[in-house]
Amino acid sequence: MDEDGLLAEMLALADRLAASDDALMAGQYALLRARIAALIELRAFGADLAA
Amino acid sequence: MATSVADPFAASPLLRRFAGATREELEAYQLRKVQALCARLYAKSDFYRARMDEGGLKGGAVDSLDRFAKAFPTSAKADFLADQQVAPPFGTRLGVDRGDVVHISMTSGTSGQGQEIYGRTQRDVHMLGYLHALPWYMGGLRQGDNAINCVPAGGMTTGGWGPGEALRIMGATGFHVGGNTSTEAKIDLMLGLGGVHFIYASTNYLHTLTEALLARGITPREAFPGMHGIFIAAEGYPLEWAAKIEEHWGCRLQEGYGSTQLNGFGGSTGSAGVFRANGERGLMRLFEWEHLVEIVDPETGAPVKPGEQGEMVVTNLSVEGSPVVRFRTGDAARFVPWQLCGGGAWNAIECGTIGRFDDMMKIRGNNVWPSMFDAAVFAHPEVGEYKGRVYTRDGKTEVEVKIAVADHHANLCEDDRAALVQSVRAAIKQRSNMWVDVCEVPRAEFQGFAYKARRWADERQDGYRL
Repeated sequence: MDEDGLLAEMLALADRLAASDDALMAGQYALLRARIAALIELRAFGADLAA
Repeated sequence: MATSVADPFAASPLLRRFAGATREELEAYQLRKVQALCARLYAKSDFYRARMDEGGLKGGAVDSLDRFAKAFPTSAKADFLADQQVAPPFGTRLGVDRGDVVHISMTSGTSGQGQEIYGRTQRDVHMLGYLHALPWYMGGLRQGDNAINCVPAGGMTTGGWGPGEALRIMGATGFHVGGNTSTEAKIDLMLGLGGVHFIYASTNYLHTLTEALLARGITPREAFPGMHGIFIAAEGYPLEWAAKIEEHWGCRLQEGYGSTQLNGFGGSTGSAGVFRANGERGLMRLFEWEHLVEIVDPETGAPVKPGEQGEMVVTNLSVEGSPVVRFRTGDAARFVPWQLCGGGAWNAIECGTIGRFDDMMKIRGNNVWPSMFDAAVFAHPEVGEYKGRVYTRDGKTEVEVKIAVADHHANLCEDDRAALVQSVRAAIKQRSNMWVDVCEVPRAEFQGFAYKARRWADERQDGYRL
């Protein structure tokens, strides 16, 4: 499974959600985006070698 | 060992990827991270921009790790505290906009100098959890486990939040018993959980918990037969003690080195335990794709040679909020380069012997660390706890060590107790080159050590009062 590729797609989707103008959801969408960004970050070492 | 879990490397392709990298690949990755970090901080942080200008790193440009280590000036706790005074609360070290800070981590303030404050972004908070989960996974923690966290949870410290985040993102059930429940109540809770798989505790508290179980006539490996691992941090210990712990609990003991500056753990014994194959002290392999760790001579700043003890200078490569670049930790560690670690490209530090340069006591011309005394005293399983005092008498420096017999050895006869005192005294002499006064006191005198033990008092200045 291409987990790194899937996460990149999810980050793009989360970026679109983060553009929402719902003030109640804004922080939660930011959290969702940050979780995905963190997973990409922590997987980054060797990702180019694994690809 | 009574229980084992699947090899963490076999069960995680990601971990195998990290473990399979060559030293060249690791250092190339570190350089890319350092370059991105310096460029970002040059644009965002007045504190670090001034540091880079001072070192001649124009525009934050870094072309090699060697140049980075030679040109980027180190910082220390006092620099961060001064920065915070000028621009409270975070100083001018933030690498993001103030509005992106959603969490803070403060140091404990036990040094007496003041508390550093670090801003964390949402991503940093996940990484805080991950940098606890990574070593714990290697140490046996698995999804679905019952995990006992004996470190006080919550508050404003890294140790207060990291464990909870880690257990949640691992999918384990966290029982955060530290701080707010007595040892007896913790034991009652553990006995009623239908199984305990993982324990995280300070070295000192694991000792207290084990001692309390044994005093109740409970053998941990029989009461908790499903243990996957025990993970300790914060204090040194003798190997004799570690062997006893593994025997009592029937599982491997692992150790990690972490700090607020690292946003969690910077290295651990992985799944290898605290002994090497030859029975000597084990190694904490450093997570060098997350942190750049230099081990240097505290006087000259030059890298120490393999096998030598030096001060850890750390750079966090992934923190967004309040990054730490070439921070002098004051922590003393023995450096073991990757070539001597028996495989893999990660450097290591010796486990069980992390000390503090600022804890060093100069006694009768000897450089002495509390960890030396810990090792000498706790090599005796009959000892439950001890306290040390350095003081002045008739113009001479004296050292007094009070030991207390563990509750589960309370039936020691008078002769055995006298022999124990003499044996502890001889062990201290062997490790520190000093004869000191040793006496026995009741165990009840030492109640209240919960997380980090404060065993030593230096009262020499009192001896000079007129």
